[in-house]
Amino acid sequence: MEIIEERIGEVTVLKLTGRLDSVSAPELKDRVKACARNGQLHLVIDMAGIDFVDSSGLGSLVACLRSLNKGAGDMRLAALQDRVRAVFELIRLHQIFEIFDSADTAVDSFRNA
Amino acid sequence: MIRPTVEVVLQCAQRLDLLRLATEMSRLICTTLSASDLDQDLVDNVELAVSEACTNAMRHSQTGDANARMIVRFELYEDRLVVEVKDQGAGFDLDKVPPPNFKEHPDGGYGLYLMQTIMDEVFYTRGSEYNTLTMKKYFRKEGPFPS
Repeated sequence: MEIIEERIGEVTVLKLTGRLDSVSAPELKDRVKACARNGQLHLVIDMAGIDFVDSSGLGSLVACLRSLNKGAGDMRLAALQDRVRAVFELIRLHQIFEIFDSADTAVDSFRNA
Repeated sequence: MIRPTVEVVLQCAQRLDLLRLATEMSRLICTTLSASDLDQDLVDNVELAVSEACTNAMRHSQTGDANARMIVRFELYEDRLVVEVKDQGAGFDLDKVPPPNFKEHPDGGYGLYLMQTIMDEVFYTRGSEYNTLTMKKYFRKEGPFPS
Protein backbone atom coordinates (compact mmCIF):
# COMPACT_ATOMS: atom_id res chain seq x y z
CA MET A 1 0.00 0.00 0.00
CA GLU A 2 1.24 3.46 -0.85
CA ILE A 3 0.65 6.39 1.51
CA ILE A 4 1.07 9.96 0.27
CA GLU A 5 0.86 12.75 2.84
CA GLU A 6 -0.36 16.24 2.12
CA ARG A 7 -0.88 19.14 4.52
CA ILE A 8 -3.77 21.52 3.94
CA GLY A 9 -3.66 24.10 6.71
CA GLU A 10 -4.14 22.29 10.01
CA VAL A 11 -5.40 19.16 8.31
CA THR A 12 -3.23 16.26 7.17
CA VAL A 13 -4.49 14.16 4.30
CA LEU A 14 -3.16 10.62 3.98
CA LYS A 15 -3.91 9.36 0.51
CA LEU A 16 -3.90 5.56 0.42
CA THR A 17 -3.49 3.40 -2.67
CA GLY A 18 -3.64 -0.38 -2.89
CA ARG A 19 -4.93 -2.96 -0.42
CA LEU A 20 -5.66 -2.35 3.25
CA ASP A 21 -5.38 -5.77 4.89
CA SER A 22 -3.42 -7.49 7.63
CA VAL A 23 -0.24 -7.07 5.59
CA SER A 24 -0.50 -3.30 5.21
CA ALA A 25 -2.49 -2.38 8.35
CA PRO A 26 0.62 -1.95 10.58
CA GLU A 27 2.02 0.56 8.08
CA LEU A 28 -1.09 2.73 8.37
CA LYS A 29 -1.08 2.54 12.18
CA ASP A 30 2.59 3.53 12.29
CA ARG A 31 1.98 6.45 9.95
CA VAL A 32 -0.96 7.78 11.98
CA LYS A 33 1.03 7.40 15.21
CA ALA A 34 3.86 9.38 13.66
CA CYS A 35 1.41 12.13 12.66
CA ALA A 36 0.01 12.27 16.20
CA ARG A 37 3.51 12.47 17.69
CA ASN A 38 4.18 15.33 15.32
CA GLY A 39 1.09 17.21 16.55
CA GLN A 40 -0.92 16.51 13.38
CA LEU A 41 -4.22 15.69 15.08
CA HIS A 42 -6.71 16.39 12.32
CA LEU A 43 -6.45 13.63 9.74
CA VAL A 44 -8.33 12.80 6.57
CA ILE A 45 -7.82 9.34 5.14
CA ASP A 46 -8.42 9.52 1.40
CA MET A 47 -9.51 5.98 0.48
CA ALA A 48 -10.16 6.62 -3.23
CA GLY A 49 -7.22 4.42 -4.21
CA ILE A 50 -8.07 1.53 -1.87
CA ASP A 51 -9.66 -1.30 -3.83
CA PHE A 52 -9.66 -3.98 -1.13
CA VAL A 53 -10.17 -3.97 2.64
CA ASP A 54 -10.63 -6.79 5.09
CA SER A 55 -11.45 -6.74 8.80
CA SER A 56 -7.79 -6.33 9.74
CA GLY A 57 -7.54 -3.26 7.55
CA LEU A 58 -10.74 -1.81 8.95
CA GLY A 59 -9.58 -2.68 12.47
CA SER A 60 -6.48 -0.58 11.89
CA LEU A 61 -8.68 2.40 10.99
CA VAL A 62 -10.67 1.91 14.21
CA ALA A 63 -7.45 1.72 16.24
CA CYS A 64 -6.19 4.93 14.60
CA LEU A 65 -9.45 6.74 15.30
CA ARG A 66 -9.48 5.67 18.96
CA SER A 67 -5.87 6.65 19.39
CA LEU A 68 -6.40 10.12 17.90
CA ASN A 69 -9.60 10.68 19.89
CA LYS A 70 -7.70 9.99 23.12
CA GLY A 71 -5.33 12.83 22.25
CA ALA A 72 -8.15 15.24 21.32
CA GLY A 73 -7.59 14.55 17.64
CA ASP A 74 -9.95 13.26 14.99
CA MET A 75 -9.85 11.29 11.78
CA ARG A 76 -12.33 11.39 8.93
CA LEU A 77 -12.61 9.18 5.89
CA ALA A 78 -13.19 10.12 2.30
CA ALA A 79 -13.98 8.65 -1.11
CA LEU A 80 -14.75 5.03 -0.32
CA GLN A 81 -15.13 2.78 -3.35
CA ASP A 82 -18.44 0.89 -3.40
CA ARG A 83 -16.75 -2.40 -2.65
CA VAL A 84 -15.00 -0.92 0.38
CA ARG A 85 -18.12 0.83 1.61
CA ALA A 86 -19.97 -2.49 1.47
CA VAL A 87 -17.52 -4.03 3.96
CA PHE A 88 -17.78 -0.96 6.22
CA GLU A 89 -21.53 -1.40 6.29
CA LEU A 90 -21.36 -5.15 6.92
CA ILE A 91 -19.52 -4.55 10.17
CA ARG A 92 -21.37 -1.29 10.80
CA LEU A 93 -18.29 0.89 10.94
CA HIS A 94 -20.13 3.65 9.10
CA GLN A 95 -21.73 4.26 12.51
CA ILE A 96 -18.48 5.39 14.12
CA PHE A 97 -16.68 7.15 11.26
CA GLU A 98 -17.51 10.40 9.60
CA ILE A 99 -17.35 9.54 5.91
CA PHE A 100 -17.27 12.12 3.11
CA ASP A 101 -17.62 11.81 -0.64
CA SER A 102 -14.28 13.48 -1.31
CA ALA A 103 -11.09 14.42 0.50
CA ASP A 104 -11.86 18.11 -0.14
CA THR A 105 -15.19 17.98 1.67
CA ALA A 106 -13.59 16.03 4.53
CA VAL A 107 -10.89 18.71 4.86
CA ASP A 108 -13.55 21.44 4.76
CA SER A 109 -15.45 19.72 7.57
CA PHE A 110 -12.51 20.35 9.91
CA ARG A 111 -12.23 23.96 8.81
CA ASN A 112 -15.93 24.59 9.35
CA ALA A 113 -16.01 22.91 12.77
CA MET B 1 -19.51 -38.81 -5.92
CA ILE B 2 -19.33 -35.57 -7.91
CA ARG B 3 -15.75 -34.52 -8.51
CA PRO B 4 -14.71 -30.87 -8.80
CA THR B 5 -14.02 -29.62 -12.32
CA VAL B 6 -10.95 -27.79 -11.06
CA GLU B 7 -8.90 -28.36 -7.94
CA VAL B 8 -6.11 -25.96 -6.99
CA VAL B 9 -3.94 -26.34 -3.90
CA LEU B 10 -1.63 -23.75 -2.39
CA GLN B 11 0.74 -25.02 0.28
CA CYS B 12 2.96 -22.49 2.00
CA ALA B 13 4.46 -21.39 5.29
CA GLN B 14 2.06 -19.80 7.79
CA ARG B 15 3.43 -16.35 7.04
CA LEU B 16 1.30 -13.26 6.80
CA ASP B 17 3.26 -11.91 3.85
CA LEU B 18 2.00 -14.85 1.79
CA LEU B 19 -1.63 -13.90 2.35
CA ARG B 20 -2.01 -12.24 -1.03
CA LEU B 21 -1.02 -15.38 -2.88
CA ALA B 22 -4.20 -16.99 -1.59
CA THR B 23 -6.46 -13.99 -2.24
CA GLU B 24 -5.12 -13.53 -5.76
CA MET B 25 -5.65 -17.22 -6.40
CA SER B 26 -9.28 -17.00 -5.32
CA ARG B 27 -9.87 -14.10 -7.71
CA LEU B 28 -8.17 -15.89 -10.58
CA ILE B 29 -10.16 -19.05 -10.04
CA CYS B 30 -13.45 -17.19 -9.89
CA THR B 31 -12.75 -15.00 -12.90
CA THR B 32 -10.91 -17.29 -15.29
CA LEU B 33 -11.72 -20.89 -14.45
CA SER B 34 -15.38 -20.82 -13.59
CA ALA B 35 -17.75 -21.74 -16.38
CA SER B 36 -20.41 -19.59 -14.75
CA ASP B 37 -20.50 -15.89 -15.43
CA LEU B 38 -19.98 -14.86 -11.84
CA ASP B 39 -21.04 -11.44 -10.77
CA GLN B 40 -18.45 -9.07 -9.37
CA ASP B 41 -19.95 -9.01 -5.86
CA LEU B 42 -19.58 -12.77 -5.56
CA VAL B 43 -15.94 -12.66 -6.71
CA ASP B 44 -15.24 -9.82 -4.25
CA ASN B 45 -16.92 -11.65 -1.39
CA VAL B 46 -14.99 -14.85 -1.98
CA GLU B 47 -11.72 -12.90 -2.04
CA LEU B 48 -12.66 -11.19 1.23
CA ALA B 49 -13.59 -14.48 2.89
CA VAL B 50 -10.32 -16.08 1.78
CA SER B 51 -8.40 -13.10 3.17
CA GLU B 52 -10.19 -13.43 6.51
CA ALA B 53 -9.71 -17.18 6.72
CA CYS B 54 -6.02 -17.08 5.82
CA THR B 55 -5.33 -14.15 8.14
CA ASN B 56 -6.95 -16.10 10.99
CA ALA B 57 -4.92 -19.17 10.14
CA MET B 58 -1.67 -17.24 9.95
CA ARG B 59 -2.19 -14.87 12.85
CA HIS B 60 -4.14 -16.87 15.41
CA SER B 61 -2.69 -20.27 14.74
CA GLN B 62 0.93 -19.44 15.39
CA THR B 63 2.67 -22.52 16.73
CA GLY B 64 6.09 -20.96 17.04
CA ASP B 65 7.19 -23.58 14.56
CA ALA B 66 8.86 -21.93 11.56
CA ASN B 67 8.07 -25.02 9.53
CA ALA B 68 4.31 -24.87 10.21
CA ARG B 69 2.40 -25.10 6.93
CA MET B 70 -0.88 -23.77 5.70
CA ILE B 71 -2.83 -25.38 2.89
CA VAL B 72 -5.50 -23.57 0.91
CA ARG B 73 -7.53 -25.84 -1.35
CA PHE B 74 -9.96 -24.51 -3.92
CA GLU B 75 -12.48 -26.93 -5.39
CA LEU B 76 -14.54 -25.54 -8.21
CA TYR B 77 -17.78 -27.33 -9.06
CA GLU B 78 -20.36 -26.42 -11.63
CA ASP B 79 -22.56 -24.77 -9.03
CA ARG B 80 -20.18 -23.77 -6.23
CA LEU B 81 -16.71 -23.00 -5.01
CA VAL B 82 -15.41 -24.76 -1.91
CA VAL B 83 -12.42 -23.29 -0.11
CA GLU B 84 -10.59 -25.18 2.62
CA VAL B 85 -7.98 -23.44 4.76
CA LYS B 86 -5.89 -25.86 6.79
CA ASP B 87 -3.48 -24.75 9.48
CA GLN B 88 -1.31 -26.39 12.09
CA GLY B 89 -2.19 -24.15 15.02
CA ALA B 90 -3.93 -24.98 18.28
CA GLY B 91 -7.35 -24.48 16.72
CA PHE B 92 -10.48 -23.05 18.26
CA ASP B 93 -14.11 -23.86 18.93
CA LEU B 94 -16.26 -22.16 16.31
CA ASP B 95 -19.28 -22.15 18.63
CA LYS B 96 -17.36 -20.26 21.32
CA VAL B 97 -16.25 -17.37 19.15
CA PRO B 98 -18.25 -14.37 20.43
CA PRO B 99 -20.29 -12.32 17.96
CA PRO B 100 -18.91 -8.90 17.04
CA ASN B 101 -19.40 -6.15 19.59
CA PHE B 102 -21.34 -3.63 17.52
CA LYS B 103 -21.92 -1.36 20.53
CA GLU B 104 -18.32 -0.63 21.42
CA HIS B 105 -16.78 -1.41 18.06
CA PRO B 106 -13.38 -2.70 19.13
CA ASP B 107 -10.65 -2.91 16.49
CA GLY B 108 -11.04 -6.67 15.99
CA GLY B 109 -13.38 -9.63 16.22
CA TYR B 110 -15.18 -9.27 12.89
CA GLY B 111 -13.43 -11.88 10.73
CA LEU B 112 -15.56 -14.93 11.40
CA TYR B 113 -18.75 -12.85 11.27
CA LEU B 114 -17.75 -11.57 7.84
CA MET B 115 -17.03 -15.07 6.55
CA GLN B 116 -20.34 -16.39 7.87
CA THR B 117 -22.23 -13.43 6.41
CA ILE B 118 -20.82 -13.43 2.90
CA MET B 119 -20.36 -17.17 2.33
CA ASP B 120 -23.20 -19.71 2.18
CA GLU B 121 -21.66 -22.28 4.54
CA VAL B 122 -18.76 -22.07 6.99
CA PHE B 123 -17.61 -24.87 9.25
CA TYR B 124 -14.50 -25.85 11.14
CA THR B 125 -12.99 -29.12 12.18
CA ARG B 126 -10.00 -29.82 14.39
CA GLY B 127 -7.65 -32.56 13.32
CA SER B 128 -4.53 -34.19 14.68
CA GLU B 129 -2.35 -32.76 11.94
CA TYR B 130 -4.43 -29.90 10.53
CA ASN B 131 -7.43 -27.84 11.53
CA THR B 132 -9.70 -27.10 8.59
CA LEU B 133 -11.95 -24.14 7.96
CA THR B 134 -14.29 -24.91 5.07
CA MET B 135 -16.30 -22.29 3.22
CA LYS B 136 -18.79 -22.83 0.41
CA LYS B 137 -20.21 -20.33 -2.01
CA TYR B 138 -22.98 -21.31 -4.40
CA PHE B 139 -23.16 -19.51 -7.70
CA ARG B 140 -26.93 -19.25 -7.75
CA LYS B 141 -28.25 -16.52 -5.51
CA GLU B 142 -30.90 -18.81 -4.03
CA GLY B 143 -28.25 -21.24 -2.75
CA PRO B 144 -27.53 -24.89 -3.50
CA PHE B 145 -29.16 -26.64 -6.43
CA PRO B 146 -31.92 -28.91 -5.21
CA SER B 147 -30.72 -32.51 -5.06
